[in-house]
Amino acid sequence: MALRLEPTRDASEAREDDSIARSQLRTLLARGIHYLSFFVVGPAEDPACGAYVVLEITCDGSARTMRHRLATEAPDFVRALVDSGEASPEELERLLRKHSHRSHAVYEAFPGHSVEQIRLERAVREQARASRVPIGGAATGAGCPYAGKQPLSPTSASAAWDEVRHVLDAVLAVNGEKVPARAFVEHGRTRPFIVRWSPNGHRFCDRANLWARRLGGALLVLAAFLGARVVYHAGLRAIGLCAALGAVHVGLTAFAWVRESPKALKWPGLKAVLRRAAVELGLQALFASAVICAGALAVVAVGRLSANALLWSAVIGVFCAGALIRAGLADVAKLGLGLAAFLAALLPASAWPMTASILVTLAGALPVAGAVLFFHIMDGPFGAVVEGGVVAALWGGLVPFVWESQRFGRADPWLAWVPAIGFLVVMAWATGRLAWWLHEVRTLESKETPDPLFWNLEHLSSVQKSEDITLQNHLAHVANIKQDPRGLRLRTLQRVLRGVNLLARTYFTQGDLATIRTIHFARFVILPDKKRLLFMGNYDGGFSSYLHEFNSVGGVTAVWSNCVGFPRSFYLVGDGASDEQRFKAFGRRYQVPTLGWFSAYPHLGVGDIEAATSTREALRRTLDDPSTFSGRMRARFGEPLTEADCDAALRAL
Amino acid sequence: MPTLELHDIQHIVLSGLPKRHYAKYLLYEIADGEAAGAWIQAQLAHVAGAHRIPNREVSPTDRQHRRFQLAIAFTHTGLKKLGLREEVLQTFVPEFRQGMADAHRARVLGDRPAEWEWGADDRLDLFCGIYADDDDELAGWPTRADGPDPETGLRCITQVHAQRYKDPLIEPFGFRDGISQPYIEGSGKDPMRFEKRDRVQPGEFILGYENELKLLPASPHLPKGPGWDRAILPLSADGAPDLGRNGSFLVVRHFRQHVEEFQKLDEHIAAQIVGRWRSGRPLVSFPPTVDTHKPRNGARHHTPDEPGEPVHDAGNGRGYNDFTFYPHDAAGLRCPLGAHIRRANPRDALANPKEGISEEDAIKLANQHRILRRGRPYLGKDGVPEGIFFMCLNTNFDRQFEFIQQTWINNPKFSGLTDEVDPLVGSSRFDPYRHPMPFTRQGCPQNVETSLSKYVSLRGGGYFFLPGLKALRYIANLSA
Repeated sequence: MALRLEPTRDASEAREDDSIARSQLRTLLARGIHYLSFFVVGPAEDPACGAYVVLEITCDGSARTMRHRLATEAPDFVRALVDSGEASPEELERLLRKHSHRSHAVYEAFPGHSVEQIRLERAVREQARASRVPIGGAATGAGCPYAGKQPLSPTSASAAWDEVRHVLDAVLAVNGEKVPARAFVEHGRTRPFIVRWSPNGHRFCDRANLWARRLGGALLVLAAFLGARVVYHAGLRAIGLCAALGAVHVGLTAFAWVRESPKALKWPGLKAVLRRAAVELGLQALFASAVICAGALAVVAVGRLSANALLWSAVIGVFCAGALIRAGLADVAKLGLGLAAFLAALLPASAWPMTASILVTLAGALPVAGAVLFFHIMDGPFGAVVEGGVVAALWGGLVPFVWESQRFGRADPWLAWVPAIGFLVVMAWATGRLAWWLHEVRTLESKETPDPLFWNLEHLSSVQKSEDITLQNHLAHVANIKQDPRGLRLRTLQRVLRGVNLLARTYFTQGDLATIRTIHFARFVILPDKKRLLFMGNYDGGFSSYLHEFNSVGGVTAVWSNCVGFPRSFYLVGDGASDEQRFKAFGRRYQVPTLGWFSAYPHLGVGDIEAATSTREALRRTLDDPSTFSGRMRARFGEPLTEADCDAALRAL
Repeated sequence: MPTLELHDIQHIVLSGLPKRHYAKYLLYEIADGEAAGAWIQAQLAHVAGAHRIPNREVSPTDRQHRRFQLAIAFTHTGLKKLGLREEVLQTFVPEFRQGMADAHRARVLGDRPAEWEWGADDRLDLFCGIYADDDDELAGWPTRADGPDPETGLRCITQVHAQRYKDPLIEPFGFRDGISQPYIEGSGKDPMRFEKRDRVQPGEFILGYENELKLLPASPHLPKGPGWDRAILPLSADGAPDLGRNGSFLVVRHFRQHVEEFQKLDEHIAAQIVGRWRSGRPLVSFPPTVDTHKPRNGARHHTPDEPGEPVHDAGNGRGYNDFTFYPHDAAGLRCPLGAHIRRANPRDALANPKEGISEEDAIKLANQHRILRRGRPYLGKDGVPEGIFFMCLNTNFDRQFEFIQQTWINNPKFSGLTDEVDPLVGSSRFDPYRHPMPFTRQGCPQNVETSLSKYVSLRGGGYFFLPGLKALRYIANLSA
């Protein structure tokens, strides 16, 4: 969540001198906030570009809850920030909402990790390491819990297991509480339309949850399939059955959710969390039923459906692209499969076998989904809906569909050519647009001359003053967007940011951004005056090595080549950032000093967080699976368990 | 193959001058810019160019005239005092202008300048390295420390006598040093003496040539003007008189080594801290006995006085430098992941085929962060080796020297480790005196953690500009 507030006085006074505000901040920062920073964006020469005070918060939970917490727990801090001395908390909350601004692109290293989870897993990892070997001068394995024990025979493996279990139990409990499988989290920036399940979500769920989710997904698919068949034969009465199956799916997902509730964390916001969960579950129930019911209604309203696989490909393509834009990758898979199954059940009139029908339907969905995504990137939501809709309609063959519905069940092959040609025309137009856009960008690029290298030492000192105090650093950067008469650079920037956002939310969710593993959170915001681009990043290590890693990443060039002072690019992604010293000089020149910054885990790197999660997972799996523990050890070493074996098991942490 | 203008590059850049057995380093404050300029002009004849390298056979008469040679370098304040204009000074890279003792830089490098003996204030101006064939030549240099010498305008801040150079070079802890050095393409040295992966583009160490990123490093220059005489200074690619061409940037760090502390360490641990045995043999090619829990068996030693059996898969075992870390020691079981040579030059240890980084890519990446070392051990007051006067050359501080220092040596998360820095020279920037310091030696079946004390302290240092010979003449003539 990024707030933008217009200051009414000179906002460069240091706010950290206000001690009441600071103690309130401490209460606020004690839970749920990963990073908080505030800084000032000064006015530019252009009169339209005013000054802003920016408050950036990366938190667990929704933005609305965060604003409420800000207004009630740290009112003096907010009053100082917005310069309204006497406002009540309700007024403050209204003010905060008024000035809230969404981010145009967000990257998270581990979407789904809450602060509590990170802290608890780190404690688990420390305990695991401490129970293994002490820090001291010992050059042997002294300190290992099994030092001096006899090698164990298979018959006493269960006794060995008890001891191991005891140790693992102790390691996995922090402050007497068991670390939950996955703390409920939803970062306020992106609101999942369907319950978000990251591609590796099963890493964080324990077995029951995992199976609940799998069953739920399978049930959705089954419900769709059965529902369609039933509807095909039984009409409106079947809608009730579909709704019932959908409800069962939702119920199983709810079971998974409740088990993952923060109750074990004794999180004070439990009620709010559960309320939100109910809202989300309700949404999902609505969606699941809507998918099935809408389909059923369509069937009933229009009459018996002919085997027009292309039309249903278009529908699936649109839905999947929409899910991708709104939610996440796995939801797309769920949706796609569900819809495909639904529609496959409606294709018995086709001469093709069932599997072929499903495959054709799914394969046909890809071009439509691609087109919708392309138009979303090019023109935003308008493009996705309108232009994408046109494409879907053409692909689906709306015209022949209407004709065909008057005849039962017979597909005229030649009619398929009409939408095919229409689709090709649209594709040619889209390709042409893309080529023209790149050509225009290249024309602008070739007219640019590289700036001479220059460093302002005073400015450099002011931004370096607060850097490298802990392992992590914050970067606040305000670049001026190049102005040209047709606004091409601004449009290019918006398109690139939409693409970056999509990639960050669907592909780069495992802790790395194009092999760079030092960024925790990063976000881009185009300021409301549409003349400046704001970048905020929280990363590990030093500024120089951070920027050096972007040397060969084309995405960085694609974004900032639209801003003044960046080294010249080549077709948007080439050159640019690889002009190393100019790129770093650009980064420093437009960097803004960060006035205040908080990190919930300032000495943890991205790798540490990942290692801690793996550790906890490994230990939990071991605990969950006692019968195979000794079997695995035996299988690995082919002998009775020895102390070295147990060492190896724990050393793998 | 780039062509280097060897006659314009100071000799120290291309050679450590091993034939000059005696050396002395003098650090000066300039009190009188004009006098200092005149003194430097007088010494110019002794600053040799690097073109002497291919001519290995130097005639005896020539040698008699040149019984010693100099290396001269300036700090930012030194250049200012000699009269270099502000608009030229602003074209130097910001790290040089801020200096090594700058508050932020100290955090980056893990230093505490408040505890230095010299270099922490603004008074460090001039570096003068004297390399001679014998000890007598080292006398007779301005060494007045209490006030400026009226003739030369210089006040000597500190003087350091280097240890007599012997091949192989042994540093005060007893380890052979200077084994691994990059090979500058186009320098004319015998390439067979260097590993293929050590070949580095000249722009990494000499301004005015392309570096590993195929770009020209930012070089200080004068403002463009009409009719510039090329004999005074060469022109850069965009027509501005290039003050930096054929020059380099010099990093000086004056280290004291705590030899008695270090000698308390077991031989195995000492070797694992460094990454090589005392003889210089790398641990990767000559690992200690595989199972550290088993007692050492004399019959298994490669040589009676040094443990470690040769293993030839990581290199052919011939030389002391033809080894790589990947894939045979990717887990650090032979040379610990946090060992000094592994941190200072990871070679191909950054390879990760799962993420598409092959070994060649990794070597290329590591070669973007190389430095050229030119320092020597030095003697204390009683003539006993006391530490190392570390000198290194690079053109881009933040990608080379500072990168190595911050992202490899002092990085507590280097190579997947959790909370430890280089055991030999590292200092955590969060707490430079957090000793005892943990050091993990990777082992099978489990890692072994030991704790170490501090073995090296920094007495002073600075960032210097080592100009080409034409630029040196220009600078010396500024105040004339």
